[in-house]
Amino acid sequence: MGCCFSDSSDKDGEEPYSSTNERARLLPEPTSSGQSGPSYNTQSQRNAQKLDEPSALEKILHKTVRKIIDVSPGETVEQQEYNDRAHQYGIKINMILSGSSKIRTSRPPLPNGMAAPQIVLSSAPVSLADIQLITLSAEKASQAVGKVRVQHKEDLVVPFGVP
Amino acid sequence: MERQLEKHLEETCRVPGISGALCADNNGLCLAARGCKPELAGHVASIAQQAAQLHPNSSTTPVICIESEGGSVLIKSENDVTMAMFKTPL
Repeated sequence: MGCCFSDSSDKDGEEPYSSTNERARLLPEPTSSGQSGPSYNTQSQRNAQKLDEPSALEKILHKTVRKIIDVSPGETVEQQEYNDRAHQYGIKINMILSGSSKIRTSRPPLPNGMAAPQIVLSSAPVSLADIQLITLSAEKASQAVGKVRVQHKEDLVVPFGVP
Repeated sequence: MERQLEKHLEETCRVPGISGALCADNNGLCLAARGCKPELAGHVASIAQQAAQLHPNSSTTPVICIESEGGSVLIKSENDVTMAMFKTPL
């Protein structure tokens, strides 16, 4: 199959009452439904006799206990121990970073930035007077550079009196 | 031949709050400098060119202001000439 969730055990011939996959029936199939072949119905009737409701519920419960992951805070960590652990982990990380040159080359040489960007961003922007001052000054400088001319005073190449 | 340019820089430095001025061409050559090091011409020209690339389709060149605790630097380029003004807090 092309589905990424399929595996080799998910075949049509498997018993529908097996508890190994999520498609297994929990309650016996009603005998009035004649959709499947006769052999399928007789097998379902035999399994229906074996499984009754309490054992099916018990199976569900066991399956849930097996697969559930408990994320409730089982053990509480004290503040001091938390700080100690954080400090230890920081030391370990620094040791790994300083030791391995391979990791160092993969880190991009970016600046660390500032600690409080909100102070810089909330400060007053550049004043309009400053902008006008530099704009005017740049225009005048451009005009002044355009008026630079070479003053020819004497010849660069002088003929010598060679007989 | 550069008299007018130097006169312009002197007038600029007379403005209250302006401690220095620098004029550079688009290659980073220092054309004139007052109150600051001529070696800064290369950096000033490079900063102006990099900032202009932020808005390549803009008709006007941007004004760059670099602020620090010791003062600020205003940079603007116009027709292949970059002007920088060093301001100190009054």
